[in-house]
Amino acid sequence: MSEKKLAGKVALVTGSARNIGRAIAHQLADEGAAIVVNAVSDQEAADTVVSEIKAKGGNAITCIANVTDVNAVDAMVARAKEELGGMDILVLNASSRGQVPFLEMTHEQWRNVLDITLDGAFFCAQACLPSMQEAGWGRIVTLGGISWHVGTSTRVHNLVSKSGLAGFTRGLAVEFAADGITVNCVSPGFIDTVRPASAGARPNRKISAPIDRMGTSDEIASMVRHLCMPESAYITGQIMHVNGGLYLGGS
Amino acid sequence: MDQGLLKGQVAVITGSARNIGREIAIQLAHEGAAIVVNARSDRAAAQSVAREIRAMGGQSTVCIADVTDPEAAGNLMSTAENTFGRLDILVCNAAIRRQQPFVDIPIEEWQEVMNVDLNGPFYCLKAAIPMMIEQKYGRVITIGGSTLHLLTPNRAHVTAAKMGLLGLTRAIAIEHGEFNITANCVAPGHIDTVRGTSAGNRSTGGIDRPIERLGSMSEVASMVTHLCKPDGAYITGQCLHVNGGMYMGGA
Repeated sequence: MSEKKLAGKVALVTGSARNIGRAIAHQLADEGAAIVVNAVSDQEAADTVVSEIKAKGGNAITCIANVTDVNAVDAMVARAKEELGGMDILVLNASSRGQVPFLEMTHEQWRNVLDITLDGAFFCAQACLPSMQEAGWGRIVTLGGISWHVGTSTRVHNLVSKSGLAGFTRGLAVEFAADGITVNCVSPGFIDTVRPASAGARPNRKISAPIDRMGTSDEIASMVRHLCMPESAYITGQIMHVNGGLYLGGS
Repeated sequence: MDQGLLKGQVAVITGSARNIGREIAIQLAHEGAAIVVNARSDRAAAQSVAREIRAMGGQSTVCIADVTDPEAAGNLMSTAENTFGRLDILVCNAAIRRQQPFVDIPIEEWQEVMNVDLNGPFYCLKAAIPMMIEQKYGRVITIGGSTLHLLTPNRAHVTAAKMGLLGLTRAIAIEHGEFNITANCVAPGHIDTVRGTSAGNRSTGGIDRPIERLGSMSEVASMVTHLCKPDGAYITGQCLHVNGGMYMGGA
């Protein structure tokens, strides 16, 4: 029935070689967007995602870049514009999690998380927004997290960076609304991903969600996709929780 | 690609003879759901929506019912079952708005608003939820409003009723997750509808919208549709704002 609604759009999904980022890359590609698959270092995993997208008839390129490096980000966005013809959708998914009791947290650990989640968002958004302004259309989706909403122990750096990212989302939403650019945050609950050792054990909270299972990466990705669609032009500055009812939002 | 994601499903949308309800009916029909179009009294308008759906190859029937009458609300839900064999989706959209300084609100007007905006959904849900439990599947969507979030004056009854409706939505979500039933509220901002004279002027609440235009009915309906799709299964108990950034939610 429907044409591919994102045909002709170019999307950069940071940290899209695996898990939620990968699912987002796939779903945006399914809607016709050309995808920049980004990873900090795992070229092979990123290339695999690119091949999968191409095998479905989509268009994608791999860009290995560390989002904490402004030069690498600028080069990635320049390459995307040159090879794919624009920059319309930015999904700020790359992040790092760690679990450290606050008094044992080194400044380096603190900085590392803030660098990736917040500085990375800053660099990527600054690099991408001018193209969106020029086109009079753009979508930025940030990936939040449930930790700072419910309060989770030994993740102060993560809570701070994700709550900061929510403020970042709202700030950009207000500032760029007149340019036809929406900015929203999708906040996942417990999702069935492959976790790196650095993420630590999944917090075993006593809260039980109304939907008593882990969510899937695709369930997160489909909300991101929905926000990127033309019909979502009136949604901006929001935090969309996809968490099985684990946290019901501040309404 | 989206074709028929709701094929085989049956939806009741209260107050679907016009405006947002009508748009929701048509979008869900586009996804393949059979639709029970409901109006309190305007049979001609309801029939025209049903005809429109059938003209596009969908299935639809009309049920005239006043949701403030528990028996009529029950009958509305059984119409879905009797006509199409089941009930998967209930959208509680029917509502009235009134505008009156608090001290001037007559008791009758308070009760009228409570009856339509809060008791009506309760009666509908009382009849619908057992059917959904039986099927182990259901999607409940209530339509909220920006009034309660923006502290709009002269709408004490509407504010109270919509706040209550959000609470009811969450209660449904919490109690029925195990039956694969989700319940969410979609809260529209200022939408370009044809307003009944009783609704009074559109309030601005003195707040600027980042996206200055009015939203369209289809922009609200598309969020409802998203929540009804299979990928919406992990979203429950939430209030999703479609308001041009006028209110950014309580996070």
